[in-house]
Amino acid sequence: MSWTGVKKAINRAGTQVLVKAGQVDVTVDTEFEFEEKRYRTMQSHSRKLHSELKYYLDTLRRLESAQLSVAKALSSFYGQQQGEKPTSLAQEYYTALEKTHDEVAKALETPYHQTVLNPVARFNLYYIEIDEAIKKREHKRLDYDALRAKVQKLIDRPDEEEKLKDTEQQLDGSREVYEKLNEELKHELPRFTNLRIPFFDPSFEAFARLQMRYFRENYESLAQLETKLDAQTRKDYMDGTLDLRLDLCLAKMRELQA
Amino acid sequence: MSVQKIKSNMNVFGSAVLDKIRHHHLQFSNEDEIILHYRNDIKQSISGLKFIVSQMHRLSKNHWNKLFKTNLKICKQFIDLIGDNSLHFEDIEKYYHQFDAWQAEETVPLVHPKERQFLIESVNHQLRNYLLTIQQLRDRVVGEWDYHAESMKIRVGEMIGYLKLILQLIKKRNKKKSNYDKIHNKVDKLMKKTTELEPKERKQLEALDHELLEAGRIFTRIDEKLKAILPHSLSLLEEFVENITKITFCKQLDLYQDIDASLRYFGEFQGLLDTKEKAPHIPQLDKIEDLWNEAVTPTRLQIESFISIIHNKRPELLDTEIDDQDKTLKLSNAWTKVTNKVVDKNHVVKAKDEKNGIFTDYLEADALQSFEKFNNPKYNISETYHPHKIIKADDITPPQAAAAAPPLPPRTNTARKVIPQFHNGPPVPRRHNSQWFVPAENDSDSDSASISSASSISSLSSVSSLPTESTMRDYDHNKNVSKLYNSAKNEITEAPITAELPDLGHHRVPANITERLILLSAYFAKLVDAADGTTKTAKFDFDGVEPGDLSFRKGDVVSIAYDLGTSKWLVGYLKGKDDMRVGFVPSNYF
Repeated sequence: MSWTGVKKAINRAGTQVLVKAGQVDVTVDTEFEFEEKRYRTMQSHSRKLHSELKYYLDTLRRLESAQLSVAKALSSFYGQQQGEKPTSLAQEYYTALEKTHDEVAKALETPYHQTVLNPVARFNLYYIEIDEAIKKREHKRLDYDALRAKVQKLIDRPDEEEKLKDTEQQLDGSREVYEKLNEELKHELPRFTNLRIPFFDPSFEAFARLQMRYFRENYESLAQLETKLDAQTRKDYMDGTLDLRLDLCLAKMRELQA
Repeated sequence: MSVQKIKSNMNVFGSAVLDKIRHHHLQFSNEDEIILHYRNDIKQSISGLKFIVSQMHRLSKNHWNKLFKTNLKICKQFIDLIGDNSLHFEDIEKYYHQFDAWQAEETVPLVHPKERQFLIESVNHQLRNYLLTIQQLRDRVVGEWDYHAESMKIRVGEMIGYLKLILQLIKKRNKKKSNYDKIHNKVDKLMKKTTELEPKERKQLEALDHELLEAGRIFTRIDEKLKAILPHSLSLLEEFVENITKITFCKQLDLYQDIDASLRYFGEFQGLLDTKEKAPHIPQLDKIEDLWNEAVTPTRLQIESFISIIHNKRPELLDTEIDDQDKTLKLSNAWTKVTNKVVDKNHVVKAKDEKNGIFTDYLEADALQSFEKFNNPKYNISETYHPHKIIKADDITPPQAAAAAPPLPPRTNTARKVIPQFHNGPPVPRRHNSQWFVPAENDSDSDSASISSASSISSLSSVSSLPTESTMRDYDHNKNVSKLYNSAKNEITEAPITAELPDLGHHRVPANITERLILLSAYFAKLVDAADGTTKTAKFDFDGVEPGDLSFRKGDVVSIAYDLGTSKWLVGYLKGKDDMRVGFVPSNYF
């Protein structure tokens, strides 16, 4: 930071204290405040969105691995697989799940990052510049307020007319700078916030599409396995009587123990 | 007590221990090993089942729930960001109010900030719709899985109870067995004594004998029961596990189908599907990327261009590829992998027979039969145990409509006219009183019967095997003549079948089939000796119609021994490994 920069910073800190103490009037621009608040809201939402989106893939993976573990336990009843051909439904089930776990989820990852996660991250990166612009405007406003207070004070003292003239000139300059920045931001901020919709909507659509594709592929690979299931089982499941088979087993077991 | 005595006592004790060990060793039979095997498997099954149940519970409570929760959160963030009332913050009403107050004093009306939000109704609708879809899905899926997990819990719990009872039984058996062995050992020791038993010892032996008998009885009872129960239990357990697998699989399939259908419905309604082709379908991954790219690029350029207007101190920020993001993602991926390892639960049932698992030692299919079944796609009928072979389109070879074999050439010199009843179906009893006139209905009856029961070839070869109406009449006529002729000489009222054979010229009519065959074989033998070895390949199947015909299959190579010339019948023979078949073959079958 250059010497002038330090000086400016000290001055501004002083003004801020004075503002707090009520010694200096604050320039208020409601319109800008409104836009800034909207901007801040957008910021917090998009950041939250980013973390949730990151978490989503994890939950998918966890769900998958939990399902996989059930299938694995079931297939381990039938021993280790020998060669290529699974010998039981449980083993085929496990193989199918493992395959989708390896392939579908992995294939999903890159496009997910590409179309959903990274754009949101990129958008969050835009904030840095805009935040700086807002900060600059804030600084200019403080300068302007301070100068105005100074002018006010000098008006009360008629003996320093020379100084008053000088400061008034400074005040004019600083007001110009502030107003220029203020107008610019007031104009550009809503434009930026309004662009969020065309920016995020494609990501949302990609998210929905990816989700569709993911579940579609999962369903397809399972449905393929379904062709190996006998028709009776399928029918029983539809009728909701598949559970009865378990009950039958249990009843036989009970008889056996008696 | 002297040192000597202690020493001897020690010896006795030592030998007893040794004996016991050796004894046990001897008694450790195959049966014990099998039961040990069963015990291990059942224990493993119990822990496996327990794991499955708890994991299913976790799936419903934790995983599915969390997935949808995250999904809903994402959706809500999207709505807050770009949907209905997005960017609504606290105290926004205050600003609206201020604007209203200010506007009241102004003469030029300005657009209210409320209306300046530039929300897009279709996006709002899309998001609302999505939220609703996911909410409904969550309720259904979590509910379904919850129900499934509960039902599994109850049933598996019962099964585990039974398995535990079996384990108890095994334990009891082993206890009784060691008890039995102990007594047996004692008796043995007493018996081994070379000296005469003292009365006290004798009494002891008697008591022990009794005890042994009792212990043996108890042991055998339990052992028998166990041996009867165990294989059945395991096969029931297998059925149980198989059905659990089926139910779980079906449930999962069902849920995925439901999710797929709901999302697809949503996508179709909102125009998210790829409609380029005829049937709208969910776009492929690269297509998704393309669509996104297409939609977002103009916006992105716009944003970046005016960010550089607002504040252009760090233009490099805009150009940086978001790959640092990827780095952190890699990190977070690694982290989740680690945490997943902790969170992920895995359990493997370790059967004694690691290769084949628990359900092995009692189900043995005939390997050859299974192989045949496996390879025959037609066997893919519904079975309790799913077949491993799926019929593919090209596995199915519909039975080709066999090209209709040409009609057999007429037989003039070798054949006789065949009465249809002779070959096909039971002979119709002859009528005594209506020999002059065979009723029409009987005629057609026998005709149709012969057609229906005859093979396709013989029915096609109507020339020789089916009497036409005119031949029928001839035949009747002949019969009547011969009957008249015969009746004048003797008591025979009915002509034997042989008499009905038409005149075969100079040949003597063979009395019956056997004679005919004998004659033919002599005839054939001469022909085969003189054969010149020409061969023909059959184009159709031929099942011999008359005695003396040579049956063959399509594709057989038949050597021709003699061409009968005008009659279109050949004499052919088929050479096998160590035999030969000779007979008449129709010439138009090649």
